[in-house]
Amino acid sequence: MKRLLISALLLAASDPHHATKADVDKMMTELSNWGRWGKADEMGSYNLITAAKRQEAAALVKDGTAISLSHDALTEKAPDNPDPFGHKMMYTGAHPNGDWFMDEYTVRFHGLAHTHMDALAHSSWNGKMYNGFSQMDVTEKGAKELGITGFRNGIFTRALLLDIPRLKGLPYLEPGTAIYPEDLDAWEKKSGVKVGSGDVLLLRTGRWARRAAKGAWDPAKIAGLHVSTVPWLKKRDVAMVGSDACLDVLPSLVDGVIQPVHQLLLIAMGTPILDNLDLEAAGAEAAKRGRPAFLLTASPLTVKGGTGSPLNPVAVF
Amino acid sequence: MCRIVLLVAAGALLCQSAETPARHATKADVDKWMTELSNWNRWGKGDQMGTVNLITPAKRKQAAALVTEGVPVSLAHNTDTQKAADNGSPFKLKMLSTGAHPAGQFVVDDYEVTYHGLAHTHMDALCHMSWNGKLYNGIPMTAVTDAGATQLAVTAFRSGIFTRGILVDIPRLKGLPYLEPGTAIYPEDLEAWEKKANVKIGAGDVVFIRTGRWARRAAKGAWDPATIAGLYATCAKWLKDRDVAMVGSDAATDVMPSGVEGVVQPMHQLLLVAMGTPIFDNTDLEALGDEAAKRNRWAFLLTAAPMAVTNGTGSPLNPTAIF
Repeated sequence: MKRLLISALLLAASDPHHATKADVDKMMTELSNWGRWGKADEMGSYNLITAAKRQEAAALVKDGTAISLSHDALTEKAPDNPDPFGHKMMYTGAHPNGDWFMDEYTVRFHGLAHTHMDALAHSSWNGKMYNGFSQMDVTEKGAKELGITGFRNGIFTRALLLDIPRLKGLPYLEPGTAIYPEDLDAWEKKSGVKVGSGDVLLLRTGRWARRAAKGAWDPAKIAGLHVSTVPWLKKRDVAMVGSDACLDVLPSLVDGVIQPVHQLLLIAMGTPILDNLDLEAAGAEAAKRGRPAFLLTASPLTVKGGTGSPLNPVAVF
Repeated sequence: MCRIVLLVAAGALLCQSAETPARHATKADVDKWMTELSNWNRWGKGDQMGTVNLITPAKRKQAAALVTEGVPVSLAHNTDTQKAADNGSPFKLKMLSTGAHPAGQFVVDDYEVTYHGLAHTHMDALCHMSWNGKLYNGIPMTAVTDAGATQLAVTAFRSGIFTRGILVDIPRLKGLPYLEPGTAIYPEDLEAWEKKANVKIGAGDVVFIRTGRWARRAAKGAWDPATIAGLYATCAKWLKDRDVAMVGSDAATDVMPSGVEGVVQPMHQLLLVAMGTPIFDNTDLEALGDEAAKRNRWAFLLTAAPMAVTNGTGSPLNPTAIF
């Protein structure tokens, strides 16, 4: 028994990716962007999308093909969708309101089902949010600071699709597959593209392809980034990161930290996140062209005090 | 004498049929335009996108080239959670967890919105309206069921709107801070604006009509939008001639009352049902107006993408202009 424990410890120590809660705690300071854009800043690494960067991104539109990165709103309860999108028809062809038809939408967009953006107010650590704002500033009225309206002018920049299943010659990654910095390096080498400042990195795990093939599963186990990729992302100085799942690999492989990538990005680096994108169509288009870079446009709903927003990001090639 | 009277009467009749009434239209005129301005079958029998078909890849490329400075401007009004004369169904933001009562490290909320109407910035899909039992392209209105719109839903536009946007700023044309409620905008106003702004609206453009509604609301408070400034019905033919992809405004697009007896919103009816032209309602064009005026530049890249709600009749959204 004792020998087993020792060998397990040795194994953990020899795994170059092994990270502990203490490592993550240390990264919270080392990778921090607090104060970088001033004490009052509420936009974090979104600041890296400069006017010049937007101009460069516009020049990526070569053939004028637009592709939605949103999954259709899921109205059916499923293991990965405990809070289905509510679509209530108020007037229909059989019961119109004059000549009009209307509906009402209800959405609890955070979680593992709906395509959405996380504002920086979505998460806290030791009582603090990005830039040191107090978590107590998120009240019943919503977020006083770091709300989604900070991004009201939208995302308009270069995005790079990191298609990990295609990199590995797979249709999709299996649940729980961790993506490491060397995968990101391998992708850069294979694609000949270097991720840079102000880019939005979009990570495809093939989640929706797997869901279509095998059905929904409990996302307590899902493919995504290992925490060791965060220093890599900081080094490249990306503006935002998104994925077709919840970005973090789950389980996180870090004892005592549920979503270390979310924690580091949202709180330490001030990097908003796009969750549950649908990257199947964009993956096919990028592969067809051998071109993983495109213009990304996305504008959240301007919900005052909101901690995020359902939205429909669009890639334009 | 009798012959003279007859001749005069015939002349008057001729005159009426030859000329489109610029400032006075009847229900019969609107009924006639439902056929004359129709785009039914123009892009095939099964078409779901109407004039958004005019946003071709070539048009998108031209539009991208309009980004000369990289300055974005949101065209969405902040969600309004307060009941008001113009906000019968306030946007609901429900905090499910807060800083005082977090869910672990996270705070989350829930949004509920009846977005059609006169308050929230939204896009109308083509299934939003019918005429004589038909939707755009002759699709029966029974296609809109309890499960939603099985045709002409907002997901037809899931790839978003990415084209040239043109701001038509009528208060600036008239030297006013905003138009008074009920002010009708006529084709000659659109032409006067083109001349003043030195732009020509063309195929595949999205036209935004600023009435100054939000400036007036900020100055004088909300009012019952049964009276609100907007386009008069005769503008439909003008917009058809220019072959625009979409029309938007900071109010309801239609002037209300419509000035056409028996037709509540002739512009909505002609655009959505006859022409297959989706509409942006209640956009906030105040910041855009200032930015455009500062540059004296009224054309920009417009990006907007509705939420991909299967069978939805529209979507709240945040259209964004980029100079």
